[in-house]
Amino acid sequence: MEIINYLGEYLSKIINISPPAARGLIKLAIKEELGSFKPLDHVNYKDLKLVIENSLKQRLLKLEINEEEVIIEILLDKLSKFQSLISMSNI
Amino acid sequence: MLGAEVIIFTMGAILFIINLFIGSYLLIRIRKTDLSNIYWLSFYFFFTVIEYLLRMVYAAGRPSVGVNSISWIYFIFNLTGHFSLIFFVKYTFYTDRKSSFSFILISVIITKIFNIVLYAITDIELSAVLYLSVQGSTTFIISITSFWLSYASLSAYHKIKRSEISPWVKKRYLIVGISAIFLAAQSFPIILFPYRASFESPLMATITILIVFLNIIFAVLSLIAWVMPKKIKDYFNRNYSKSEDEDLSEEELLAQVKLQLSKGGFNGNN
Repeated sequence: MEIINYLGEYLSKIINISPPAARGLIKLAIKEELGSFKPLDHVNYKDLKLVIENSLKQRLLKLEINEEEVIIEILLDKLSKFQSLISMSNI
Repeated sequence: MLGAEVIIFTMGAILFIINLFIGSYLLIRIRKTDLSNIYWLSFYFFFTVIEYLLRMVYAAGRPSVGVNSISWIYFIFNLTGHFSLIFFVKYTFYTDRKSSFSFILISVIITKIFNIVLYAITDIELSAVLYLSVQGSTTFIISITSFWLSYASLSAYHKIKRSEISPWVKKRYLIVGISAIFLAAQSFPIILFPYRASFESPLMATITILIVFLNIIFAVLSLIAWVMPKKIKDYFNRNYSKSEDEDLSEEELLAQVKLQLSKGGFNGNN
């Protein structure tokens, strides 16, 4: 799913981890928030927004990453600006 | 002018088939992806199909249906088609974002009311200025919605073209953006339609062929963009190698993240 690659690319730059690790964190957060039976290509904009606001934020807190509020704001902004990637890559 | 009629009918039939195919394909994809915003795009292609059918019946002037009733049904489908495109752009590119949505929607509604009122009195002698207003309002409605789609898609393409995103997805943005320019372009010759000319007039036939031709370019580009076959995707991705993520357990992944963070961040080796 291209939006996860895109958000992962940003998250990796912000918290300075590898892009695969950042993508993995996002995928874990999706699984936690939406359940493991929801396929990634069924995740829509509102689902992802919820994932970032809740489970991803909690995971950043658990990893003791500073300024998680700012990071979440940046990711929500990127998600909002590039929401079309969800449709453009899944159709 | 029989030759021109055959050309227009054939081109119309090609358009009908392409748009019906795109609309149906999108409906199938919605069932597989749950992307409800795509309904709007699918509706747009279906409404266009109905619109063409009505245009053909209108052109043929079949007395059993009644020209005036067809015109009104045509207007309803034409209006709904444009609304569908506006809502598609809004819910695909601008959910929770500031955009021109309200302005475009209100402009289209007002212009369409103006258009319908003027159309309703077309049986009365219209002045040249009034007639031009009817045609101009139609052009405005089509072009404003098309240009908005084009702007949304091309500006997104411009922002993502250097990102690590599959090239075929980037090309989809580009093709959708360019196709919408052709959709807008087909609205401009509408202004040139001669007042009360019959379908047999050479000027009317030429303008109609030009409009349908521009519509076919839009339809073919839309077909490539939305129903992109794997071969075309592979061609666009020919110089792109996507790194596959390791299949790690939650514990392994979190351990890797913690390790990278403890070493002051990722440096390419950890």
